[in-house]
Amino acid sequence: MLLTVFLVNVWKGIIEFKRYFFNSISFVATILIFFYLIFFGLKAVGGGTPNFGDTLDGIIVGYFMWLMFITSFQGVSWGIIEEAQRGTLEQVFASPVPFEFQLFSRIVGDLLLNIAFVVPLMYFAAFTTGRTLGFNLVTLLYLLLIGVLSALGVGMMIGGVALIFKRISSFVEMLTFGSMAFTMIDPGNSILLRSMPMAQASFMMRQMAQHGATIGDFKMFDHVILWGVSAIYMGLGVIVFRFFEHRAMLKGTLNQY
Amino acid sequence: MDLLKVENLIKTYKKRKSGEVVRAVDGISFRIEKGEIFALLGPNGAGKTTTIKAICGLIIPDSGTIKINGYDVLKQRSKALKHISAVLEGNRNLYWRMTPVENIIYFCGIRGKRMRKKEALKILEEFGLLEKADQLVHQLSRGMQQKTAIAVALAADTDVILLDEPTLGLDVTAAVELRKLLRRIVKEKGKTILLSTHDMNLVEEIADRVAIMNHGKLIVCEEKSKLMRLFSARSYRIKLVTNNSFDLEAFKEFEPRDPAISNGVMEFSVDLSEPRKFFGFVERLKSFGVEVESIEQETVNFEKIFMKLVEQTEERSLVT
Repeated sequence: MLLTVFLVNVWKGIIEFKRYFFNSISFVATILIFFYLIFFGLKAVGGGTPNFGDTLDGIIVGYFMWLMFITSFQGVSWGIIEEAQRGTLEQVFASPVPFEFQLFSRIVGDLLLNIAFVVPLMYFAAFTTGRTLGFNLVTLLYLLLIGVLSALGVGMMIGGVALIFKRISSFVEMLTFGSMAFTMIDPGNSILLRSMPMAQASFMMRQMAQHGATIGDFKMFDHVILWGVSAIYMGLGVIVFRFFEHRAMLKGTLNQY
Repeated sequence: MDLLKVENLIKTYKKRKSGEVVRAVDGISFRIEKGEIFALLGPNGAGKTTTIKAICGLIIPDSGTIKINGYDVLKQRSKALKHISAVLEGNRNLYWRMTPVENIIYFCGIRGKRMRKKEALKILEEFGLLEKADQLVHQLSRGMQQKTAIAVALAADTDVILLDEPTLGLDVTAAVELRKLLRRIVKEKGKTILLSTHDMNLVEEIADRVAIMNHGKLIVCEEKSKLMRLFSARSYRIKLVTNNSFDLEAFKEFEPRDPAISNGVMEFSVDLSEPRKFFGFVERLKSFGVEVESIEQETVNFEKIFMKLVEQTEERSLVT
C-alpha cells in the first residue's frame, strides 16, 4: 500500500515536470544566464589574483549547491502553499495514508528529479566556462542526498508555517537569496557557518570539485557535521510541520487561502 | 446498520479580532444508514462545512465522536478514512494540469489503491467522460470538472461518498444530469451519499433523509418524504369572496401569508397542521359570514419547507 502511495507521488512529479517543460527550459536558461553574469563578472574583477581559479571553481559549485537548496526547500514549501491555494491540499490530507508520508514520497521524487537536473547543469556550466571540476559519483550523490535533507527540513518548516500564516511568500523569497550566503561562501572552521542548511555539504562539495576529494578523504568531523546538521534541520522540519498541521486542523485553516 | 455516526459534535472558534468564541457546531448528533442519500442543509454559516470537514478528519472537534463504519475518525483515523471519500470543493479538488484519467489514478494511489488506466477509463466512461479522458482538466467545462471530481471520489470505492455543493456553478442541464448520476451511483453501486447543498431541487429529487442545521444546531433530522407530507398536509390556500373592505387582521392568529385580492376574491395561505387549528379557522370563517370560494391544499416544494424551518429557528432565537 505504501509503495503505491510512494510510486504515484513520484509519477505525479514526473508528469508535472513534463507538463511544465517549457517553464523548466526557461528556468534553465535563466539559471545559466544568471550564472554566467556572476562568473564572468567576478572573473573580470579578480582575474589577476593568484589562486583565483580555485575561487571560480568554488563559485560554480556554490552556485549549483544554492540551486539545489532552493529547488529543494521551495519544492516542499511552495508545494504545500500551492496545493492549499488550488484546493487539493485537503483532498490529500483526507487520504487514509498520513500526509507526512505523502510529503516524504513527493520529496524523494522531486529530489531525484532535482539531482538529475542540477548535476549535469553544473558540469555543463563548468565546461562552457573552461573549468574542469573533479567528479566522483558516489561522493557527489552522498553529499547531495545528505546535504539536501537540511534544505528539505527548512522547506517543511516553511510549509508548516504557511498552513497558518498564509502570507509568507516574501519570506520565502528573502530566504532564497539569503541562502546564497551559506551555500556560496566558504564557512572555514566556523561551526556556526557550517551549521547553516547545506553549508557543510557545499563546503565538502567544493573540496571534491576543486581537489578531487572523495568520501574517505574527509575528516570524521566533517561527516559528523554533515549528518548532524541535516538530522537537526530535518527533525525540526518534521516537528514544526506537525505542530502547525495540528494547529491548522484545530483552526480549520488547511485550505483557507 | 449505521455507516456514519456523529454524536454530540462540538466545535468552537475564537474570532481573531474580538476574541469572541463562536460555536460553529453546537452538540449535533445524527446517523446515516447504508445506501441512503442524506442531505445536510442549512443557511450560510450554519456549521455544515465544519461538520463535513470534521467527518473527513480535516478539522479536530472540541468534543464529540464521529464514527465511520465503526471506526473513530480521531482515534482510528486511517481505518475510518478508508471508508469515506469526499468532493469538498468540486472542481478545485482536482489537479488542473493533469487529465481526468491521471487524476483518478493519482487520487486512488494516494489512498494506497493501485488503479490501472483501463479501470480508470471504465469509470470515466460511466460518467460520459471517456472522450475527455486525456484532456487537461482546466480545458474541461465546469460540469465536466464537477463530474470528474465525483468520478475521482467514486473510483476510491469507499462506502460513503461525501459531496459538498456538487451542483454549485452548474447550468440546468448539467445539474439535471448530475442528479441522475448520483441516483445511479446509489442504486447500482450501493453507495451511501452525504450531501451538503443549497440546491433544494437536488434535495427534493434525490435525498432520502435531511438534516437541517442553523446556528450550529440541528433543527431537524427526518425522512424527506415525511417532512414533505407534514408540510403539504398543513398548508392551505384560502379563497374568499369578499368586498374590498375585508380586513385580514381578523385572521392574524393564523399567520396568513402571501395575500392577494382580485375581482372581489381575496386569497391567502395559512398553515393548519393541527385539527384544532383547522376547526378554529373554519369557525372564524363562519363567524365572519364570508363566502368561501375554495380551500385547497398547497403543493409544497422542499425550498419552502427549508425556509419555513429556518425562519422558525430564527424567530425562536430572537425571542430567547
